[in-house]
Amino acid sequence: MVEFGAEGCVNALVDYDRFPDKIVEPDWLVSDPDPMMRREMMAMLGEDERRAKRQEQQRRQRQAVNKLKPWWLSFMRTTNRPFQEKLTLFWHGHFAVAHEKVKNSEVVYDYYRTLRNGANGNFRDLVSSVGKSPAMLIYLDNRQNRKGRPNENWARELLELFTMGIGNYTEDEIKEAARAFTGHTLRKGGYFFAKGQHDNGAKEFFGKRGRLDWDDVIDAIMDDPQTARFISRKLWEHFVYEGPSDALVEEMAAVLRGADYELKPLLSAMFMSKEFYSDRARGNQIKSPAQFLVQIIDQLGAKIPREQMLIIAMRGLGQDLLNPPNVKGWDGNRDWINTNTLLLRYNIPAYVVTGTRFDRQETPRLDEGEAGMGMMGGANPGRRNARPARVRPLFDVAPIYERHAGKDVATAALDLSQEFLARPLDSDQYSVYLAAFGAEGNARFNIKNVKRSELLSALHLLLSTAEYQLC
Amino acid sequence: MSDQKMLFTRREFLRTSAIAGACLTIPQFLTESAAFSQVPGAAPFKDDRILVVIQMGGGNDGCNTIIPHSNDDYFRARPNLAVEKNDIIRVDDQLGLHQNLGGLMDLLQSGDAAIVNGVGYPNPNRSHFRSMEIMQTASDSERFEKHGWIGKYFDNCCSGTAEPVSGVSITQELPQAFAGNSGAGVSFLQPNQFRWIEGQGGDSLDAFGKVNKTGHDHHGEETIDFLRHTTANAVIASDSVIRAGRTKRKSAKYPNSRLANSLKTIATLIAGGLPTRIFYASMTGFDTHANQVNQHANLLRQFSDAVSAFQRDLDTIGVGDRVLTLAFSEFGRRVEENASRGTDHGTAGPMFVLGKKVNAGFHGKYPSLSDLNEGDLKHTTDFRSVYGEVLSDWFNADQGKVLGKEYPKVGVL
Repeated sequence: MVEFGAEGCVNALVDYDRFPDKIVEPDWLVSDPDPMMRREMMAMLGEDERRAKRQEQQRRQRQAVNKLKPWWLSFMRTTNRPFQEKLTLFWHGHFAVAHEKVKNSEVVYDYYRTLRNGANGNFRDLVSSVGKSPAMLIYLDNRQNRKGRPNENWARELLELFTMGIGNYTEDEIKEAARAFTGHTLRKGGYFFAKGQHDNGAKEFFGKRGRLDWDDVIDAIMDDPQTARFISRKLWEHFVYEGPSDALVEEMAAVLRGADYELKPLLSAMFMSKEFYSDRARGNQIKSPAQFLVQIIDQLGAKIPREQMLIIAMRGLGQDLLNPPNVKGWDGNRDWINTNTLLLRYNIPAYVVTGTRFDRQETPRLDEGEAGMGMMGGANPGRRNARPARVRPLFDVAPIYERHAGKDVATAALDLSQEFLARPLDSDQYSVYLAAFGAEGNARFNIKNVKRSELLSALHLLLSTAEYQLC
Repeated sequence: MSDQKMLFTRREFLRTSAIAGACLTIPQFLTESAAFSQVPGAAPFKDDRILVVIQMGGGNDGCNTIIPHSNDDYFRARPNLAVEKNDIIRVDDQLGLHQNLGGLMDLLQSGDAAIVNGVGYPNPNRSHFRSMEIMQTASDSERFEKHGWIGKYFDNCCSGTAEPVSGVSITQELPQAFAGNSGAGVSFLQPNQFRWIEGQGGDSLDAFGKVNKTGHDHHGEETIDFLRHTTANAVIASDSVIRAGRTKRKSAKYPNSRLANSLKTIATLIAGGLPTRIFYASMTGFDTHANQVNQHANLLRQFSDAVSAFQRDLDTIGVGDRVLTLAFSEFGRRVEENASRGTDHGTAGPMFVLGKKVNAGFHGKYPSLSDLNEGDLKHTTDFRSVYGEVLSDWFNADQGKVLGKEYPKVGVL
């Protein structure tokens, strides 16, 4: 990528489609048998065997999704289109779907692909393709939405959470939209329009009248200026700062509407705006757990931790990927932080830097490779204050010495802090951090004379700060 | 930073960062208040009453827990699972306890156990996940709420200010029941795990405190102030939890189970004077779809033995009349047994309220086993009536502020 100027840079970021997609599809997803075949198969079994089969299948599905979570995190780290994954994660939180209800790894992966394929495309198309994805048809029950027996779940959340926001439509409009969505269901694991189940009667929705169907309702939603405002505001709050002025939202919404809901112009306008470069936009937002974890690994050039460790960390940090707590997704920013999650954020750097485990802190087992460690069990309740358990560190400190070769400690320490923190330490903090390098009284000491253990201590301290939570 | 440089850094952020990448630095030092904050020493609550919530995860089979021994419908619905008439511990001429609930029976007889039958909610949801969420947020079946009932209690009702250790959960993650604005609620499996893991060099706990300015006040509006404030809280909470967890006391006899271990930890923390208002403990395994007889019997034994050991321990510590225990499950199970000698997800079930101050005995109407809703019990008491009574009669709180309205009394307190 050779492009100069802010515009070229932003365009390259937003228009990532011009770079090759290096995704490697997971080949370990689990299919559920076709319902017809399944019924035949099950009919030949006794109740006990049927139950055992069902439970076994659910266990395999759970296992596959639990592999998919760290798979995605790792891909966020290795992809050459990081912004695509960042957008996909945004849409995952926006169009929330949880494996807890979907219970099928293929369907969950297909949903991820739907979000990813449309992440910087057209918002109108994205809404429709997500709505017709098996995952959403299951998660918000539209597969059960039939003529005469409407299920309003998808219609309601579409208006409330996905496009307009509460207070911008009436209960009647939800009912009419739900009627329009009848018959859009699942068959053989895929989207299917069941004509017989569709309510073809006359409806009225946002001033539109007629035998309205899926597309008519989506179009009417997009025609309302509130939709562009709602989605522009949400993107802005996610990527720039919270509480943008109404004027700014109007400006962004106009870009989105002007482009008929193409997202790239809006994203470019956001990242080119003066506000994006303002003080208010910097060092004031809290990294999401995914960003925190992927970033610490990336910044240190560390190896990606074991799958189980990533799963435990993400759950503990409050962002169980592919399994948000409910249809509202994650609230983000300050909601990521409480005493528990913050303490875990402060304990993860020790794991990455020195291999000190955060999930189980009794029973020292040095020199044991990660593979040998049982994960969840094994905490020894009888032992107190034993040294924390360790694994082989994921991180090699040598490149840091190389990168800062020739510098004195004070310079290297300052440069390192700027590499890692979105907000500088003040002089009091800085002196505590500098002391950890063990070069007290002689900050002109060459960095190469700082002991490895001291450099690790300093890094550990630097990453265990409130400042490190910010971006 | 010059505009030119800033633009460059910002572009650099876009180019490299996305998810994985460096953030910016701001070249201006923070101004900060030099005032040291005092750790609040005064108890944050008017009285010193404590609630312990026990979660029986998986959906406890209420019909085999509190057994309608004189009801033929029970034995008809459960040819393989019904507890033998002679094994049932009879409480009155209608109801009895599963034979492994001897400890609970002792509590009933000593006047320390209230059992509410038929607890549930309208439009029951049979998903573990969703029903647990409903129980924890005390929401209607159709409403999604972010905050939990315990969190809402801390936000609205407690006299004084809630601090992080006002709520303590002996679980890996903090249950949704604690979600709220006050920030009350910490979770750990072992008290000494609730801490920042210090290193052996310049990354000591002391250095961590200094680099995060935990000795200062952080009342500013900025995100960094919020983070530092929470960090200071975490350090204070960690210190008090670890210290209370080290309390030496004559060790009480507890059986060996996860619930018993958790309750023992809670008793130690109470003995250590941790200013906690609500504790939370959890046991799981009640999802008995197949071959449930032995599984369920073991679980009931674990529950019964753990709570009775806990109650004895509390008496030894001398806090028996300050502690109330509430045990619930996300739903009961289908009345009719299935073909795998198990039971499927159902609706209503019993709730247990234990402690010296309860009105012992049965409360609420035992649901009919013949007048069913699609094979499931019709609940007779809304679970929020029990929460409401605990809030208003145990904590002197305004239950309307937590639950959105007043629920009819059950009479357990």
